[in-house]
Amino acid sequence: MKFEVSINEFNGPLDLMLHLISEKKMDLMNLDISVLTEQYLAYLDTMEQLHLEIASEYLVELANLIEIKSRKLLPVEKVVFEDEYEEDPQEKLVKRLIEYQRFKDITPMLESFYEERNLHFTRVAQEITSDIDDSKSIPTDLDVYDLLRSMTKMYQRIALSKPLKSTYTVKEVSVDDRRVEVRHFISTSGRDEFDMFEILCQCESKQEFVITFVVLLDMASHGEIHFADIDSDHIKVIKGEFKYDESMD
Amino acid sequence: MMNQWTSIIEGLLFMIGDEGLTIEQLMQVLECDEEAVVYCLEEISQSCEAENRGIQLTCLGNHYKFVTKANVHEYGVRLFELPERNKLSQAALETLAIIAYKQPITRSEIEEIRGVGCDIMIRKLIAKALVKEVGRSETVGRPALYAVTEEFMDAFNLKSMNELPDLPSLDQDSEMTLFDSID
Repeated sequence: MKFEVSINEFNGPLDLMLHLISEKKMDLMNLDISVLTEQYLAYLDTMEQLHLEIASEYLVELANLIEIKSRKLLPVEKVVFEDEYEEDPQEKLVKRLIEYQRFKDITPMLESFYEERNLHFTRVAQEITSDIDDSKSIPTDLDVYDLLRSMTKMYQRIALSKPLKSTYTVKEVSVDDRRVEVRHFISTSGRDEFDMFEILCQCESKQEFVITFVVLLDMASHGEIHFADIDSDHIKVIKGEFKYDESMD
Repeated sequence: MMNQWTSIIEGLLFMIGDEGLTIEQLMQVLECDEEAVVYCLEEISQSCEAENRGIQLTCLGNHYKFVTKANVHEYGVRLFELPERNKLSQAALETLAIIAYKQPITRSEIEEIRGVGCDIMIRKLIAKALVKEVGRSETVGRPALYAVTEEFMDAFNLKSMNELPDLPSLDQDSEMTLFDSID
């Protein structure tokens, strides 16, 4: 049988088999596995000649087809009922093909629903939260990347102002300890506004820097301080109304 | 009161835009019963039917929302220079169909039906918010179970999952032949 092929895009081996079955007008219910295997193999050969990559799934199903075909060549054994009944592989394949066909058949309808829906526009929901005044604690016109950029800048400045230590000392600072220090710094300064750099530049190590930053974020979340005027160089820290309670620690 | 409610609901639906509102949400906000909400929604829907109106009330995924009428589309596209609306590939549609009809379903069950690996496809569909993980199967390895989302219902113009068309069934005759052919 001469085999002519048109390269369509198939959605996998089952799709290809269904295509071959309908093209060759084979009866799915009375499937001639050897004809299907031959056609299937010829298709894969053509794909190979055209230097198309054959996905491994196609080869798995090919192995399956060949297995079914080879079983047919073996003499039929008298069926002995065993506890574990093994489903006839051909029956299983046909079932899968039918099942797949059902879903394949329904997709054009779903697609038409999808296209119909695309004819209708909606508008995005009103941003209701914008009415809430949270400008004090978080500037709304900035995103997290602005913060990231200014932190990087700040870190560079610290690196410049403080030469790297040549000796290695392990100094562990806990968040709680650092918080006490930062509160002390703020309360003794007698000022209400600081540059975040003022607080962070006291740090001697990366670890301490990170801890201090966490402390500042934590304090901001409790309303002890606010951030404001974030630009590429400065983050202003403003003392908040919230008075911390020592007993809370 | 009814007339007031109708105008309030219309206003709320305008505000909420594409997120839409469920009947339950409207009942809660207006502190009234379901009957009243349904009546008002029907009234809004009817008043939008007039030919000189450009929006219509639809219910997608149990959420009521205003959408523009189909005849607006052609002009809307001109106005916004919309990018080619992300078309769904045949493979994506198939995968979605299988999940929609068989949910909750594991990845390997989907792959068994399609005969191809679906890992990347499922991840793409999750990224599009059309599919979500809904738990784990009790079978070996406890694989994730997938189901379609409310966004899926919206994208496919479905009021609820009940509106999904019936899957073409295997007719009795063919099933008979199937069994006859096995010796």
